Amino acid sequence: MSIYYLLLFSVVGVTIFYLIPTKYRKYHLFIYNIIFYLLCNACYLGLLLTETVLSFVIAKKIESNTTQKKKAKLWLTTGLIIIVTILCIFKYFNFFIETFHFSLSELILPIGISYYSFKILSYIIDVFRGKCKIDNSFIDYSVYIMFYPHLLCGPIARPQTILSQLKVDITYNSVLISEGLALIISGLFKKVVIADRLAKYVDVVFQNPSSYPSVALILGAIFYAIQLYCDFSGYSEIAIGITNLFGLKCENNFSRPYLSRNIRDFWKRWHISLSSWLKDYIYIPLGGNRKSIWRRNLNVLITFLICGIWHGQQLHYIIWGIYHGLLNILFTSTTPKINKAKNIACWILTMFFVTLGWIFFRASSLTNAIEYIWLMISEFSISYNEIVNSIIIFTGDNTSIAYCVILFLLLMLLFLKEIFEEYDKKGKESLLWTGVFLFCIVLLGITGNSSFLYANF
Amino acid sequence: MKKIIRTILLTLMICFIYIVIKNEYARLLLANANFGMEALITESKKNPKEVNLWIGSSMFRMGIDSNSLYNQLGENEFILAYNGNQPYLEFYEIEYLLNSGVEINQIYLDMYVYAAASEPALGDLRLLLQTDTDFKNKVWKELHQTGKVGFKDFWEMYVGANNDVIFAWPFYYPLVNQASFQGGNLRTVGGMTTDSLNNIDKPTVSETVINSKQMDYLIKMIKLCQNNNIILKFVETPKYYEISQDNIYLKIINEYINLLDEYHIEYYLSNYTYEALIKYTQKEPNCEKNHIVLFNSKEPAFFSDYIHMSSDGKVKYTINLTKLINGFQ
Repeated sequence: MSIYYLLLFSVVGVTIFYLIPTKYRKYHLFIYNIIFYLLCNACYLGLLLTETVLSFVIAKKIESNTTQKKKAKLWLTTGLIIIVTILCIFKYFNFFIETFHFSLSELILPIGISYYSFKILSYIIDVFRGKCKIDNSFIDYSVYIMFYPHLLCGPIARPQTILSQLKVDITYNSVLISEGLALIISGLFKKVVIADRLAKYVDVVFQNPSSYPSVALILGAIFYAIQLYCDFSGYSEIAIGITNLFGLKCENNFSRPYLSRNIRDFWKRWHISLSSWLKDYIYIPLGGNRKSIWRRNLNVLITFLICGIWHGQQLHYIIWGIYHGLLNILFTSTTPKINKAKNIACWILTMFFVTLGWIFFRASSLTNAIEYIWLMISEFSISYNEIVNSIIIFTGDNTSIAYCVILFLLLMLLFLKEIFEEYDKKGKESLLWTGVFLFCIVLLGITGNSSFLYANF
Repeated sequence: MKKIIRTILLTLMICFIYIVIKNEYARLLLANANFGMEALITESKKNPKEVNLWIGSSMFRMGIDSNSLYNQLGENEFILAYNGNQPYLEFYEIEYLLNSGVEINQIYLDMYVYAAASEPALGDLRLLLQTDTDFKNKVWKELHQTGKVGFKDFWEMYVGANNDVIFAWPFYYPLVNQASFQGGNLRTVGGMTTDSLNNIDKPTVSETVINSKQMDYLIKMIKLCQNNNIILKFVETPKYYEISQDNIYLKIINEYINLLDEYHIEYYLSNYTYEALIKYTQKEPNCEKNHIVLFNSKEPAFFSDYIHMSSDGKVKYTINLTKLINGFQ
């Protein structure tokens, strides 16, 4: 789904939302979410509704058996097995039939299955843990699970966050709407001005790395790191912005991850809704850091392995997950040394490891990733011609110079904004940012029907 | 809420004003440049003289060397090359220059098969930087008639086009201007090897005939030149040997030649195309109007891909072509 379609759909939805009486607004959201799924992925609407109803029934059963722990646990296990099995079937079936050469037709991945499955899991687990009470109606619950802005690429909002807001009637809140508009503009800037601007370069270089000089490969890796961040955090901001327009609040999914000074800090700032989900529902139940150092390290590795598998069944995702797990372990054991180093050095080192990891993430296969890194290192040289040949990739003609200069200025703009936010310098300039970003979107935004990178997961 | 709405409206208003100014006046940025239509117009106003234009696509940018033109033919030659330049655009370019008071003696037009066989499209947005709103409106009207353009194309043409270049002007202009001479590009481009050529895709053409709209504009262009006493000549820059032997390529070239013969227009073909064309049509083209430019199209070092020449190829070909124009070959 294109971003413009999503925005147009939201404008219509929000307008109707505030035109109808307050008590019907939740029902409007419920119907609107179904219309969204019908338009995007009609054939799997049944699956989404079935999973929503089933999980609601299971959660009810868990809550009604709070005094009988065994029964509640049995219902929880049943729920987990059903949801995880459905998720695995759709995510890994194609890999299975390809690997074992079965002559079966491939399954199309239902839109948002990875995101809504995790929401369902967190709901039934939280009900079991007593963190979440079923005092909401089925409509509230289904609005939470099927909330369309969060379906494509998250964030994986926690049940407590959304359901508590749905308990009461949603009223017009101008402050929230202003924040939502500012977020949408900021997200659009990241997506259509920066991420889409970098997409062509990254696609070309990763598709055929042997045809390009090492400088282009290094730039390609750095650009992908920026593209992925701007694409995904841009979408998250748009999704949260739309959530705000509907009078609901939602936590941030990113917190300036590329300003992190170590890997652990990076994971506290990157895809926060997934990393905190993994922490709460995988890492801590495994024992977290409450046991021996070896057990802790194993828990970290398992958590990151699951993180890799969540992104896809291909080996390069799994390697990427393990790579980050190992970096986390390594960082913890070398914390004192790294902390003594200067901040800039720590930042550069962290960005180096993160960017290297993204090569595994972006490559079409593990072989492709290894080839890319090998070419980047073994063929390394810098000359005037190599730099020119690396810049010309942008547009193929002399406008590449302008494209490159503007890209640099836009990145500086984004960096500056993130620095301002990092040091909490908020004031009148926040409106200035909105104006500048909107100016860039109108005049420098890349038009097209590009989808979101994280919609593929 | 009011503040953010005010900010949004103010920004959109600034954008609108910028867009109006850009579409009409951005061309003036190129008034003193070494390239582009506006440079030619300004120069002709300052120093009225008849010019010989080389209007074409990237085939001319990569295939016609402005230094060699200057040395062999003099200072009145000027290249106007835009990626994928099609006959319908070339017509509007000539019309625009004539309306702006440029005096044209001769025009050498690119026989670019791939552009002529395609439906009208806007390939190179830089053309929009060098022209006024009226030119853009004419192009848009033409594109709109194809029924294959939408809001996205409209936006790209009037709003998005060339903003990078304008905003990066202090960096872009000195670099590009320094690398340009008499409209031509002085950038050095390396040649290929047989192996490297094998690793890249050959260009393909979806249609096997000249597009009817493009054909109409070719005829319009011929008549426009006749009415303004401009000598019109067509030039086929060399393509790598395999391409010049391709039957679809030859079929479209043959269509070109039939048209040129009908209107008694001169043209320059490269030797391998000429030989392949005789085999293809089983007849000799009209000797009075055709010229054969000798060039070794089997040498990969003369090409940067299958259809574009390297710097070495460009210089060698331009010298051979200009010698022929001067009657020395």
